[in-house]
Amino acid sequence: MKCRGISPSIEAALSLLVLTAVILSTPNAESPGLQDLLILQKEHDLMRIWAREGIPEINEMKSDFKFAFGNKGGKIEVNGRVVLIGPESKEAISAQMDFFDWNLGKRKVVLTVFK
Amino acid sequence: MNTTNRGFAFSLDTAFSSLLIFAMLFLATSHFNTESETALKSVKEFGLWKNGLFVADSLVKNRSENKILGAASFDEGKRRVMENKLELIDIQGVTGIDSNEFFVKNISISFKNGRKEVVEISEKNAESCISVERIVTVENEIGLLGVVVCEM
Repeated sequence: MKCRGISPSIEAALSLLVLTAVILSTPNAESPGLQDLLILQKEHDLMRIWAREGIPEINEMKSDFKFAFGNKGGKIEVNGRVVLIGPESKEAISAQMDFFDWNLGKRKVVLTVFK
Repeated sequence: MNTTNRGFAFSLDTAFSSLLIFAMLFLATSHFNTESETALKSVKEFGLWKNGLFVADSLVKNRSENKILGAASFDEGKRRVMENKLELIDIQGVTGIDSNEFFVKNISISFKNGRKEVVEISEKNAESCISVERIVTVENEIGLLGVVVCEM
């Protein structure tokens, strides 16, 4: 057939089909969120309260952790002594506090929340 | 393209190819439309979380006449604001905030013994609300402060 104008072939259309399918299948970018920052703020709040009121016993620290973070797992480390709470995960948000008590003894507390 | 006195006469594979092309164009434009709507929605949501975070942070870290902007206790002896230490009477005195973007719906404090104090600030209804939690001490007891912020 002799004619003027654009006459798309099936091969070209199939190529366009494949190209569009590849473009549509690209994963969506993750929306930025502030959840990690909120967890970090709560960690800082808890450690600030412990520092001001006096570092409690480890069982009370565990109880405070569960109250603050609910069902999330975590870890409390006091001067090297580690206590695990709840389920573990590879992703975590951690905060550390160094402070001096009334006897000028240095104490280090690391609070970790698993995501 | 052949034309006859009856009208246009396409070849079959041209018609089929054209159909495929138009279908792909349609899918691509609807995909981009969905993407842009999702992006706009996530920007709005991010803005609401940002505002909620700032309000809650200001509430627990500062002291202000407008209690929503600062309800932390003031230590007269040390002459400084005690961050994350609140008084119940200050929480109960919290009023709303002037903003065209968001409003504070309520503030609550939950204690370990199950007690919960809720202060309703606005009765407006909103489709999109978020809750920001902070840890505070109230009357020497550890509590979970919740600030619910909604989109205007």
